[in-house]
Amino acid sequence: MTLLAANNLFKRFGSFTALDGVDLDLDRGERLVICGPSGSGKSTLIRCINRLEEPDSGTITIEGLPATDLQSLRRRVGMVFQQFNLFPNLTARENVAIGPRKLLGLSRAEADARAEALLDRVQLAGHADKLPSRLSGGQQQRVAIARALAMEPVLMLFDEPTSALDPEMIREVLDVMVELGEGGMSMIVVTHEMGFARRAADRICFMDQGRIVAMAPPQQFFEAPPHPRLVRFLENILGH
Amino acid sequence: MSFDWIAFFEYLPRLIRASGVTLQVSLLSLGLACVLAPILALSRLLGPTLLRSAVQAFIELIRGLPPLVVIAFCYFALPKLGLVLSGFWCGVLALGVVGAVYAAEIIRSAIESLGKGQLEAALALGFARWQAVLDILLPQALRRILPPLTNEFANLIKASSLLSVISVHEISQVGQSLIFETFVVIEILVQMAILYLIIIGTVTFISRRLEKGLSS
Ligand SMILES: Nc1ncnc2c1ncn2[C@@H]1O[C@H](COP(=O)(O)OP(=O)(O)O)[C@@H](O)[C@H]1O
Ligand SMILES: [Mg+2]
Repeated sequence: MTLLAANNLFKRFGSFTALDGVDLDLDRGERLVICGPSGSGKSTLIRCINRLEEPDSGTITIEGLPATDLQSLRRRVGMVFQQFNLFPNLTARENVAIGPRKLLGLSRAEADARAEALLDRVQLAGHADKLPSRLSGGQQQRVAIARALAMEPVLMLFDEPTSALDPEMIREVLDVMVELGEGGMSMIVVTHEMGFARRAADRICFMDQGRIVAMAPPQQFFEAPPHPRLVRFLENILGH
Repeated sequence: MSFDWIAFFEYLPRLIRASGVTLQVSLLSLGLACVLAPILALSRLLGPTLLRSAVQAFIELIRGLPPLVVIAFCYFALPKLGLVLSGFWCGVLALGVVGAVYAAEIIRSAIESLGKGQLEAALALGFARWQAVLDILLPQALRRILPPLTNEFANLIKASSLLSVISVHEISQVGQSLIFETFVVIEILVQMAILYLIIIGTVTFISRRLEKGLSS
């Protein structure tokens, strides 16, 4: 069943065309990985989905409904940023609890309980009282995932969630994401972690110059890349 | 030259009374600034385009004028527009508006200096823009706002000396007339300096305590 349908999206920044007619569908429970060279429009695409960017033209529906109300759309779509963007003045627990408390009307106790459960789920049970500055990058990113999950989204967007991390912390974040996908969460993940894509994606798409130029299940994507530019991209990124 | 202690103590009571006026004007205009500044800052950050431009223009205008001109405008021009205020309340209004404008810029730039990421994180959770500013950004900005704001308030107290030109009997006005009456210069200047230092020092002390309270 279709969860997300984006049709013919265009987005320009000045004279530069960042999205050049993108169509994208996602089924409920599906995990899609987006890769492509820097500047190809990956961030712009997923930021259009939760309307951090407003597309110039095209339509996006989620659960069959166009976004009439930005706030309620964004509550149903979680987002994880490359730079974590945790609120530095709040503890891990407060970071996770503040959305449900301020936006969903949960009491402090209810929101805290939800936060504790989610921190537990991302393997941070003992860290609830710490400020972000006292957590490692990998831990911060897992708090950010828990913060997004706290709104009980139907779709999770990840924008290069491990690009800002030291190599030894990438694994702990990807493991949480794999588990999330196995639990049935619908996800769109912008990443260059091809191991993750192979392990966790249902489909992988390759963007170049504002377009989706290739889209395939992992096996086919890697063994028989359906586009010459993708072949070159994979050669670069896999280092051979 | 010797310091005349007798003259010093003879004129002290009058200057102490005047410092009461300085204190009143300063605190009232500070109160006005505290009410106006967040309104100006938030309309500039969140208001519809027209309001935003109007507020920005007003802020630039007041910041571009010497406070003395704003004071003179309130005193001489407002009555022509039908608003007659005593010198004292003119001073409160003028200094309050000047203080508010500078404080509004401090608040706005502190919020903007937090970076786009914080705002976007809040928006992505489903916060409306105004909610994100009030619930997420403002609490973070507070630590960056207070130190420069303290400076601004000290400036406000110093600027209250300008009210001598519209005959408000604050420290500078009373000090000046005493000097012209008595030709006792140094002693009176020293008194004025001490009184200003006490007032400004107290305000600074209180807000440093507030800063400490915030950061713990
Ligand atoms: N707010 C913006 N203003 C101007 N140009 C932008 C803006 N956001 C993105 N761009 C440009 O659009 C292009 C695509 O950006 P982005 O979607 O971030 O690419 P990617 O995530 O694939 O690296 C880039 O060349 C970038 O410079
Ligand atoms: Mg990007």
